[in-house]
Formats: sequence, C-alpha cells, structure tokens
Amino acid sequence: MTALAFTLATLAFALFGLSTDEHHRKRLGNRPDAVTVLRMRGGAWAAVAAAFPFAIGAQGWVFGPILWVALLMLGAGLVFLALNLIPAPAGRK
Amino acid sequence: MSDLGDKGFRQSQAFLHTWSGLLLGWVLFAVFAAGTIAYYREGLNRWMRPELARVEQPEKVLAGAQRFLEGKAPDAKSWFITMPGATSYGAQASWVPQVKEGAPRARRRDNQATIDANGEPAKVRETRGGEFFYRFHFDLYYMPVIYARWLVSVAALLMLVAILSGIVTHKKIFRDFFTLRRGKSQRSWLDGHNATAVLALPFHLMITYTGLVTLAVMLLPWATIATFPKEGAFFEALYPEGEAVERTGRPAPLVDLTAIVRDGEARLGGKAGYVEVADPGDAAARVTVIRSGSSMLSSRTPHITYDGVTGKVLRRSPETGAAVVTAGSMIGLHAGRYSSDWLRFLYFLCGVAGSVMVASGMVLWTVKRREKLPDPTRPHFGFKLVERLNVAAIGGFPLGVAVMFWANRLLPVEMAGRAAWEVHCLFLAWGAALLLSIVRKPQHNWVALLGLTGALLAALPVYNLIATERGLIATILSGDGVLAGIDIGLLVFGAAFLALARRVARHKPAAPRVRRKAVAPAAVAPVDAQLEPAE
Repeated sequence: MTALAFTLATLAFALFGLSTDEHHRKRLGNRPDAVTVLRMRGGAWAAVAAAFPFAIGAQGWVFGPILWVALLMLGAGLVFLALNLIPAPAGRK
Repeated sequence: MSDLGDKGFRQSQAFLHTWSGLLLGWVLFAVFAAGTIAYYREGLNRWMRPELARVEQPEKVLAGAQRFLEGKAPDAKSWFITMPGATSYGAQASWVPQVKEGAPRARRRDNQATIDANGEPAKVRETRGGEFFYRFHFDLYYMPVIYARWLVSVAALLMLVAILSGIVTHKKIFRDFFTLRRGKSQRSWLDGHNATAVLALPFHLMITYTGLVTLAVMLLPWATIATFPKEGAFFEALYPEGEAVERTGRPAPLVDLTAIVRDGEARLGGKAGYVEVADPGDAAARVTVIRSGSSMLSSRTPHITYDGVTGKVLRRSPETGAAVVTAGSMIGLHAGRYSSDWLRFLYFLCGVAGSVMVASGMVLWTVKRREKLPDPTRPHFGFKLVERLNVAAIGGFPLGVAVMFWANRLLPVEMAGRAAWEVHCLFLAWGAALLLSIVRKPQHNWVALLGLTGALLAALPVYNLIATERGLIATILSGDGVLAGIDIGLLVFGAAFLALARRVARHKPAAPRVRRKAVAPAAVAPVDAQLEPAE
C-alpha cells in the first residue's frame, strides 16, 4: 500500500516536472504544446488524488493523511533531484 | 501583475517577506537546526553514551530500576522511571525524597541514576545527550526560560509571516518549482531557496504553526486566565490527578512493577513511556503507568493508576476533550514522536530543508544587495552587519554542534559539571566564530568555518571506530541501525560541509558588471530591490 502510494506520488511529480517547457525539451526533445501540458498536469493531479486512498489504507485515518503528504514531498524531492542532477541525453540541451 | 493595485500588494508582501525573514533569522536558524537534530534525540542520547549497550530486554531493566530504587530510596516521596525501550540506552530512575520541614523542595533531576541494559546502575559519562537540542530549540540557553520562549515565539511568528508572504510574493515559485539553475550566483541561490521552501512547504507550514501552538497558552493567556482565575487550576483541569493519598506509615512491600506495566500496556493499548510510584514501601503506595507518545499522535497520553500493594486498578485518566486532543495532536505532529523510522527520517530531511531555506534566504539578502552596492569594496554598515552575522550564525552554529560532539567524547569522565561543560563548548566555539567574523573578511571565514565543521564531523565516526566499542563496523554488524545511522549521517554531513567549503574557496566573485545607470544611494532602497525577485 505504502509502496503504491509512493509510486503514484512520484509519478505525479514526474508528470508535473516534465510538463514544464525546459524539462520537456531536455528529456523528451520537444516543447510541449498546450494540450499535452494540460493532459500531463491532469494526469499528475489524478495521481496525487489516487495516492490518497492507498495512504489511508496503509496507515488509517489518523496517520494516513500524514503519510500521504510525506510521500508527496518525498516524490517531489526525488523528481526534483533527478530532473536537475541526472544529465540530459546528449544533443537535447 | 495585471494592474498597479496587484503590484502594490505583491510588492508590500515582498517587503514583508524580506524583513520578517531577516529580523530574527539568525535565532530561527539555530532553533530550526537544533529542532531538526532533536528528531534524533533518543538516538543521540545513546550515541553520546557510547559505554552503554543497547537495551534488549526492557523488563530486565525495569526490574533493575525497581531493585535499585528500593535499595537507594526506600522511603522516598515518589519515584519516576523512564521506561527503557529498543531505542534507549537504559532507564532513567529518579526519586524525590520526603519533604523535610524548612528544607527546599527537591527536584526530580537532583536525584537520578542510569540503569543499564543489564538492570544494573551504570557508571556513565555525564551528558545531556540529545535532550540538549530538544530543550535548546525552545528554551535557548544562558537565559531565563520565559524570555527565551517569547523570543523563539516571536521568531516563529515572523517565520510564519515570511512563509505566507513568500508564497504570495513569489507565485512563480510553484511554476519554477522544477528549475535549478546552477553556477549562476543569485539565480542559483534563489532556486535553492525556492526548492527547499516549496519541496517541504507542508512541513514548514505545519512545523511553524504547531510550534506556535505548543506555546499558545503562554502567548495567548487571556482565555485561560478568564476561565481559570485561580493559579494552577488550569493545569489541574488539563492534567487531572486522583486525590492525593496520605502516607499511612505502615510499611508494605511494593508490587512487581514489570507485571503492573505489562497489564497497563494492555489496558492503555500501547507501550508505556513512564512509571511513577507515589509513597513506595507504604501501605498507601500508588503506581501510575503513563502511555508513551511513540504509539499515538496526540502527545497528551493517557495513564492508569494502580494500588501499589495489591496491584488493583484504581483509576484511569478520563477521556480528554476535543480541545485537548487537538492541541495534543498538533504537538504530536510537531515533535513526531509517533513516527516510524522512515517517517522520522523524512521529518529530519524536511528539517534540513528548512534550515537550508532559512540559511539561503539570509545569504540571498546579501547576494542580492551586493550587486547593487554603489561601491562593493566598501559596503554600508547594515550590509556588513548582516553579512558578518550570517557567517557567525550560519557558519558558527554547526561548528558549535561539531565541537560539542567532540567534547562529549574527549572531556574527562570524572570532570565536575561535565554535562554543562559539553554545552559550554558549543557556545565557546560559536562565540569564537562570532569573534572571527568581526575581525576577518567574510569569504575566508566561510571557508574556514565550513571546512573545520566538515572535518570535525567526518572525523567523529573515525574516532568512534578506534576509541569506542560501538564504531560503525560493530554497529552495522550487530544491526544497530540507530547508532550506525548517526555515524553515517555525520559522515554525510561532514562531506557536505567540506564540499561547501571547497565551493566557496573556489568561488571568484563575478567582475562587477557595468551598471546600466549610475545608482544613486537613495535608489538602493530595499523596496526597490525587492520587486519581483523571482524574475
């Protein structure tokens, strides 16, 4: 349950991160158009929401919400580090 | 920024953000950093007592504590035992002697002993361990507690203002969240400040707000004064006690505490944190088992009282009201005592992010203004003051902590007032950093302080490996994650400080750019410089 919630949280922020102009260009090679950005953000919010029930399932109603926020922060932090510190594929600067 | 009104509002928020952040930022940094360390206070309690083994059988320790107290203080007024657990080094057994006519009331701290993992009174170095960081982060040191708490509260209030105004001013931080421009001086500082702020924003908001809640009764006393005019009545209502029992004078043997605690844990539904015995050895003896905060969110934990001779349950703490549960939960959320190992680690990381956020914000204040100085070689007094206080506070406090850890290892065990001297060492090193920052140029000081801190921190695990039985290899082999984790943490932080020092040493200030227009001193007004820093 926790692992699932964590995966969803990380996925959410990966989508958020890749929907920005700069990272989309660096990682995927082109600038995203408006529809792509909207879809990615929509997917990201959906993943954020989907992580919640799993966090509740893992830890209950008292500690579950705390776990959910904690996992969101962790996912965001990992994505932040990965996007900024892992070198982009060559030729896509 | 659609129209002038919005601009005016955001600009005023930027002003608020800058100055509320700066004013007590140095206090805030120390408070934040110490609070972050305090998430591992139990671990540090053990780490700073390397002669003691880990507790394997808590019941043996509790039985040992009872044996010790029965021999040492059989007719005490009360005993107090902190329950040993898997994260502790043993039990702390303390007692309050009977009050004698005219004699000053004894405190719990005056009579205490450490019971080790074998249940024997231990000979152990005198140290405050991780408790120091916990107390320091709201009581400070060398000053009356009440002033310290007010100062910390004001700092926390300013922090809350800084966070909220920061969100309002820099709406772009959410859009720019994933951006980190490296090697670009001011931009990089800004990105780092943003990232640490936004990444852990839920934590920052929670910790600042709940931190204020812990001191709310002191900050906003009027409601309690109005409801409970009599002094002390408030605390009696908040922590209801059973009726005090007169000592009978008839001796009677005390029940076995381990059995009582086992029963109490079953009834309370969680691990016991403390055991208190009133009038031990008397027919009127009472045993109170208090649940530990490690198994529930609220820090106001329930307790249960037994007859100390027959072992019958006498009373349970009443159900607490919604307000008490709310306050207790907020304090619990703040202190994270309930948290599992992983969650605790996240708490710690968030605390580190918060400390970096405060520190980078303070440095950013100077970075941004340096470029706008009319003559960068001769900055004005305010700039010099902030720049040098930054060195003293942000460079000095970590150095003090490193020096304190070394003092814990090196001060002679038989030294009088040893625990206090460990703490003095922290402040001596911090004071030295302040002196250094007054007499020398800031950049050299950054390198010296960060480098020294890094070297000292990284050398600690090496010393442990050589001079104690609980070096990194031994702790990893025995699966002692707490001590191994602290040693690894010290290595990581040591390396990070050294890398930072190297970075600063290699940094060449960019050649002063030709200003687009001659800046008259009057135009350097901070408000002007504040406009849209995220651009």
